[in-house]
Amino acid sequence: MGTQVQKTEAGTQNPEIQVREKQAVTREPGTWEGPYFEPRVDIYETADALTLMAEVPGAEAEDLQTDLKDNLLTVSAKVARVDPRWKPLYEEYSVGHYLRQFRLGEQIDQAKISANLKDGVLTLTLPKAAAAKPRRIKVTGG
Amino acid sequence: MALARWPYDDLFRLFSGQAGPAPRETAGVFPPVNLYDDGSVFLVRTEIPGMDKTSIEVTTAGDQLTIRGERVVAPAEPGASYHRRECDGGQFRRTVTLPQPVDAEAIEATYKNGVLEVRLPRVPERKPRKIAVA
Repeated sequence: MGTQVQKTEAGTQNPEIQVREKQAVTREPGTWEGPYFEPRVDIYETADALTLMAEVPGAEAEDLQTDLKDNLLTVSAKVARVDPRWKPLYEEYSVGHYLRQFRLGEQIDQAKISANLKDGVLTLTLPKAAAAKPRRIKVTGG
Repeated sequence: MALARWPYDDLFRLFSGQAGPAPRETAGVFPPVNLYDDGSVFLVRTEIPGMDKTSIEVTTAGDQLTIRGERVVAPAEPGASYHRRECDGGQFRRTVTLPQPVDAEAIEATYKNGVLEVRLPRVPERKPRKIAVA
């Protein structure tokens, strides 16, 4: 069978954003109390670096942790609960921490990793180690 | 139409003292919202990371609150190749109906760390008043 095509209203330039439920982390429990969710990410690669953008709404900059060990990148963020004086009447999403791991295929220059948090989006720039950068090999004729 | 009504059945359960954990379901319209109450103010909370604050439009009409906007995901620099692409851009419009009338003049909205919070004070209850007979 063919794939489902999402229909958008005719005349609209941009598609409407579809609801996607948060993915609960079910692997190993984190150290912070409460549920964990996998942040949605964009990852792209250029000749010099990998860039990872992760959606971590509700997290403060000081509660973000990134760790790179043996090419395993771990991104986690602690999220404060809603003040208990607010009694939930209706909930469509759960509030929780974020945790996701990525196996990197590239050698990263650890010392040059930079992170920036803006409006709930974490941007990690992971510069490639010199050895991993593409090199143009001169072909010499015989 | 992006119009959703609060499930009054659940509110009824809540007020009748049988409230368990709050129901988790989605109205199927982005963004998912949570509604809280502290007795005098309703709080509508929604996670919409990566927004330009000035492009979020919050309007009220009667007991209805509408949140609309457009999320623009900046394209990667030319020549970049994507490994994963999960973050959505696009327009959204969400209307929610509040369980009780609110004071339209006193509504406040804040956007911080990708979370939009709208505080909607209830209309002060009219106290019973005794009218003297002249």
